[in-house]
Amino acid sequence: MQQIKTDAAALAQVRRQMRSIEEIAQDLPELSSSETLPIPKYVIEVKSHFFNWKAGASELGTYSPYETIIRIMQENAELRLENRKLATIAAKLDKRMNILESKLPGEENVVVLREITREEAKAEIANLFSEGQTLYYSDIATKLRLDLELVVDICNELMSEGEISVADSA
Amino acid sequence: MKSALLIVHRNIGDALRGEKIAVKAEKIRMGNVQAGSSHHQIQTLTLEDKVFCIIEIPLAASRK
Repeated sequence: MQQIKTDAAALAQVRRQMRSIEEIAQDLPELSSSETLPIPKYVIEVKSHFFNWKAGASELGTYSPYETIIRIMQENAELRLENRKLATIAAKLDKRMNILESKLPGEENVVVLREITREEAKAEIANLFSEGQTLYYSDIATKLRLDLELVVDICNELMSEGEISVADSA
Repeated sequence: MKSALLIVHRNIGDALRGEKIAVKAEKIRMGNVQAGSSHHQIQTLTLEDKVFCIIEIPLAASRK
């Protein structure tokens, strides 16, 4: 929003402080210069228009070069304003879409459960606890990509065997 | 050592209450957000088909 205000202020300033046609024409880049960036089409149009007009051979309608420059610069500033507004709207939409996407069961969230034997699963769970971590059933199911029900069943078995217990922090 | 005995509730109308509950189901339908205070919004959802829920407890290796 601040940028839009700045652009509007810049447009007003251009309108107020427009210099003479000669000065503006002098400031326009040379058409033959080897610039790294391409010269905007409107700059070429304005410069060509100015020199043709000076030579009395303008073919660009009833606008004087001064009017043409003002018109094109206004158009340019308006387009920049419009562009800023659209960019702001696009950013807001992007943010909303990200929120919506995060709530959808996207492809990234699909986990293919591993099909391993109960004994292998039990060994892996025991191994996970041997690292000294405190884990919830859901943590184990996610980390080892195992069925939640199987994890609960095996954890109960490990608890009855005295291998694991409810953490002291509970 | 605290004990954890798994009791499975299957009767219609049985309820679960806990601080953290892990669930799995074939269908999860998001419900509405019930506005409370700014930091205490409650969200509802419905689980359907082959539902399994477990009240989570933090587990760790036993001290031997």
